[in-house]
Amino acid sequence: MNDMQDDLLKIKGISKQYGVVKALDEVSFSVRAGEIHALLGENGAGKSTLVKIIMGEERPSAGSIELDGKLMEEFHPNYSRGMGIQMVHQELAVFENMSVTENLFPWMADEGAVRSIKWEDYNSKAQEILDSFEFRTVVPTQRMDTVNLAGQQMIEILRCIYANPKVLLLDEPTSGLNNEEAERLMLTLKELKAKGLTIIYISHRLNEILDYADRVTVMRDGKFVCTLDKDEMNEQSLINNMTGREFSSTLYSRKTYKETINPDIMFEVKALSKKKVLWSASLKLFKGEVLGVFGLEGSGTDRLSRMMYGLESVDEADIWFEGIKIKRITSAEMVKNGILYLNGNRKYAGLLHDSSVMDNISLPQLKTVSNKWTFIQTKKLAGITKSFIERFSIAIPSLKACPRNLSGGNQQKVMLATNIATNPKLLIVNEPTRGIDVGAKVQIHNQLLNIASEGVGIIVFSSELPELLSLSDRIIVMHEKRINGEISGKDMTEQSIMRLASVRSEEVAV
Amino acid sequence: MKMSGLKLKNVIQRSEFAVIAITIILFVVLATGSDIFFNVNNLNSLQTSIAPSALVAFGMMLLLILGVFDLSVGATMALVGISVSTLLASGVSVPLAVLGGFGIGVLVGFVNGILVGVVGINPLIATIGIKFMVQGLAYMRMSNLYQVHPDFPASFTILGTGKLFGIYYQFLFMIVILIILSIFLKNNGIGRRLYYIGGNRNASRLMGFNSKRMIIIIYIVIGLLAAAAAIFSIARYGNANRYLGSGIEMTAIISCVLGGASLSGGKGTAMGALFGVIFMSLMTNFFNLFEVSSTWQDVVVGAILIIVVAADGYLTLKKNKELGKI
Repeated sequence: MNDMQDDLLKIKGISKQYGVVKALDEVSFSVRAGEIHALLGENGAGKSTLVKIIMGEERPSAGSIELDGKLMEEFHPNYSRGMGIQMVHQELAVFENMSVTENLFPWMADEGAVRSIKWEDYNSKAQEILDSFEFRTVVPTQRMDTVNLAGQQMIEILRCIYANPKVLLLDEPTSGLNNEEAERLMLTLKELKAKGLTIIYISHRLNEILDYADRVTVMRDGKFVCTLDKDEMNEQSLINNMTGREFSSTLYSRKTYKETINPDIMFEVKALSKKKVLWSASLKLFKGEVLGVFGLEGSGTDRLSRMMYGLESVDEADIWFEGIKIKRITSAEMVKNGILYLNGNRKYAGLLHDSSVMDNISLPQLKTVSNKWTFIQTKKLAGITKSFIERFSIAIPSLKACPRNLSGGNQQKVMLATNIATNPKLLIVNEPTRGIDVGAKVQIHNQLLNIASEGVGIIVFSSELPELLSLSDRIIVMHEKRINGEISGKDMTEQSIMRLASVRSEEVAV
Repeated sequence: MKMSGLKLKNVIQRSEFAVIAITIILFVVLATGSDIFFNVNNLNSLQTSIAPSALVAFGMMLLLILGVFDLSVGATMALVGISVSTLLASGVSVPLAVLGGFGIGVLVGFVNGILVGVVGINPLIATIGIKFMVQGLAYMRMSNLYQVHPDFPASFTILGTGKLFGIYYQFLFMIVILIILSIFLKNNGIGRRLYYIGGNRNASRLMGFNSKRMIIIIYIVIGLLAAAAAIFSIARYGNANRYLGSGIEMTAIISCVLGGASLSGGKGTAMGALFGVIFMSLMTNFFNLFEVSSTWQDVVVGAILIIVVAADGYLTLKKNKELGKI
């Protein structure tokens, strides 16, 4: 039995029904005052819905919440905020058209309607906040749309912290940050905890949870599974409870590498460069291998992936595919050659969010599902879609379901299926498993290795080192906008790659 | 750290910079190229065309900042004009008739606000529907007469024709509104909230901002401004007809977009709206004074609109690419 007085936030039998889907099913647990309480679960487990209900952004179908012994009577963001709850959103809630200061103090109007804002006061207050976090890359008067994503995320976090809440909810706050930034954030949370702040925190990074959380509550399929104390927490126990099955740690450990690399070059980028963005970058993909590209935040990996696919202009580059030079580096030309690109941001590109899964999968191959009169054969299409849904074990209520309503993992699977359905020769994937649960991750990895074994060339851009280690035969490492070296086979370890990613090596000529 | 507000780069990057620059160029061309530009008659007609258009454009700018717009302003002006002149003709006192006009503006604005803000109908559909209804009501009043010639009382006519140091009351009124709105939009929490809501409606909901109420209030404000514009216009010309305000919704939106607004919301200033209007009026003046067929005016205005918007879009795209957002 816990000491009841220690429980600050009590969640009592919260359920949430969306149509026929039960997102939350009588979830009950308590959060102690002054602890960092992690929420863990696969995508679609209901964690985000739960914190949205605590924040008052969603109304539960049943159940109640008590804060500090007081029943929360309303579900509205203003009410929750008044009770001392703040939330950092997974999908950033920032205002790009406004200044950093205004993003830090969005409630300034509440201090009195007929009042002139003292900008100098607010700007210097904003500067203090930025200084106290050693966040020196932005200035208070800067417009938010000139701040990069990590910076924007940081500003949302600072906004919540400095509103002086009792309870701080964070929905995957570190997903957009690099390791250094994430670590600094976690240390700040620890400091805030020491000052008595209670923190509820959703994350997929197990290491982070193991390092910083005092307790963890695991959820699965909208249900409460368990709350573990610090001494019960380890990687295996967390993964087991998340998935509900013994999870052999085959994930993140590649058993076999290609011993001999086929010397035939499938795809080659020669001296791709763009002023201020990328130094002359060259890479080769040999037939039948999976090539990984790794780099820390700002190293240029994302830009490289987009530039070599013609999604961003370059100053100069030569790209060869199967021995033939690609004349114009445009995405249309790439598609014509059977080269496909999986976008790193499934929210903005890569999916038709309001079309059915069936339409998404059929779109790139309308010709094959149409008859000679160019009419789409719905039955054939449904058959193809079903086979992919089974192959990728995509969890959807029907073929007519739209990606918008699916969990991140399922969205990512639909995206991959859509691409694989066209039988590409080469697949460039950018962050294939960002922000999705371990189960879906493994399935996506298996699918990628599967098609690789069928001879499809694969280039993986990822900021997750374990992922690259488990997928790649060879890894190219970028550092400060240039390719810093490559490592292959058994030499690939987290340490060796991290060194190349963080230290400039002069001798490695690429 | 204090940022200089007057750095050249900052000035150029202000959203209303382009329209102010082309307006100044146009002004210089007119001032040097035409003998009658500074003629009193010409300046008078410029003032009385700019003032009511600017009032409507201010209202439109507030809506555009919020991310919505109003196509029923022209029809509202017609209905207000006809109603006020009918009231005056039937012997109602000037203050009451004017109040009645504002009442109509408030009513139309309120209905628009409810439809767009609460019911959630797309502003294009909602306000075009209201435009037809209001227009129909105005025409109904006018079914027997083409124009109302009510012999306005002098205390009413003075609203449209009165001057102080050579400047029309209505122009001064417009300047006062400009100053109030500029301060409101820049330095008032509620004014800034328009930009928050227009910039990111979803995030505003999460912040707990009441965007429904804000939308209703601003639609009422544009209704009031349209009523004021209508009253100044009929007082100036001494009559009301059903063509009053016709097409002004489009020129107001064009003026605002030239002045830095965007249909997707979150940007724009009152000063930008005013310069958009001045530019449009000077264009008309230019074609009149240089005796170019006025049919060319639409072509030129359309082209300039597209160039300004395309240039802005290109710069935004470039900036986002540089930040790696797309």
